[in-house]
Amino acid sequence: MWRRNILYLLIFISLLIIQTSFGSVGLWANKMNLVSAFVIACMLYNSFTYGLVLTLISGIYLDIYSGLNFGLITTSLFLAVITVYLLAKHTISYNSIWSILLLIILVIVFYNFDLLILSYIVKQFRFGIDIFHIYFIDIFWQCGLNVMATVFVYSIRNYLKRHMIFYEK
Amino acid sequence: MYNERSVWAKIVIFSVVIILFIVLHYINILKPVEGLLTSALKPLQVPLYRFSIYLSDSETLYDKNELISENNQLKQDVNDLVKKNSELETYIDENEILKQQITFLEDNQLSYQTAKIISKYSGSNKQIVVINQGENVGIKVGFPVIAGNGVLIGKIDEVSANTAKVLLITSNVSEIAAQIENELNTPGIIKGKHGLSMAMELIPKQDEITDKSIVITSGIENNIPKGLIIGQIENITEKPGDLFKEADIIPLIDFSRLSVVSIVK
Repeated sequence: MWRRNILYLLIFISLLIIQTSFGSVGLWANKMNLVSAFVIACMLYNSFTYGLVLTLISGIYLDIYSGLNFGLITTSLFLAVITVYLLAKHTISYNSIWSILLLIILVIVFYNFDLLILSYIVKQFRFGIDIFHIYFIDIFWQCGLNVMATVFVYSIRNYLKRHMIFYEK
Repeated sequence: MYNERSVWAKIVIFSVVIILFIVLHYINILKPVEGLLTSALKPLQVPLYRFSIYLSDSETLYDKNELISENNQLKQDVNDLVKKNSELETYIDENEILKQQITFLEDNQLSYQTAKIISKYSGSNKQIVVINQGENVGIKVGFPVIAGNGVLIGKIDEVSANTAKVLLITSNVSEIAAQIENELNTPGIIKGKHGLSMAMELIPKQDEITDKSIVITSGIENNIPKGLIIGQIENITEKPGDLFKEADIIPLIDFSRLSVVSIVK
């Protein structure tokens, strides 16, 4: 079990590093890959607690490198994950790629929605930055890249499972 | 999987942790940890960042290729326009030249045939232009060829059915009977000088001639009427003991820019 944990944590950290090395807007903006990774990790482990831990790590890490107010990304991600978990916990099959993709899309939508609202609220207190005008620039890239990331990680998961690597018989 | 209470308990706990992190960040307690994290990951992020720059450059390269393509297209368009403009200017020039030639020829009641220059040849002794009219329109060897307002440029040297070669008067082998436009109508022979200029030879020594005088055809030569302008006297040479004087003649038009000429018949 611990070897699986380490493997997925490494994948997750790699995604974090890649995300922060690339730009935040445009074709190569990968910020939401982290959300994908989180959701997939949650599902692979079937552990809500582990998912929340990953949310916390990725959110804080992203906030450190973000140009937004510290905490906005962590909070948005956290809210999105909780929302999606509560909405989908009884309906999602973790072995179906289509279910996972649906979950990813839901997380993206909720994450962006939460971030938009939180940014607006922060702006009202006059210490936030206005992101509304640039907000939807890269949402299509985010969706596309997340789908790709999901397929990629899902394939790894299936490969490992098929070859009984790290999986208990 | 989880009971509802457990889920909400976790949510509350993690919410508190997140709020704690945010507070710690804003009171600068978290800063050393953040610094440590960013420093630790820097070696990995530097090459990744370079890679992202490379990818961005690839995007820019795509834009560059588009720009290069557009630039090439525009260059092509400019070249086409320059070509068209040049053609129009040529037509205007030719029209102007033809007007002058026709005015001159009609004023002098001369029969003529207009022609376009289609080729040039420049040898050691002969400077020749080829025109697009020949025997079919009555052109014969020896006919004078003029340009501009009656300026003689040469004589027909060879003729074929549809083309003719004009020997320019600046050729070494060219000789034209001429006279200076003065009171004495001083005669002489115009000889070409290396395709660049001319010299008037056999000028009687006793005749007074001056610089800038105009030299014209004398009319004593077959097929060449009197009064065609040849050039302008530039420099007079007189050697003691010689019976004749000599003068350099400067052409009044640029032979290298000729496009339309008239053959006097």
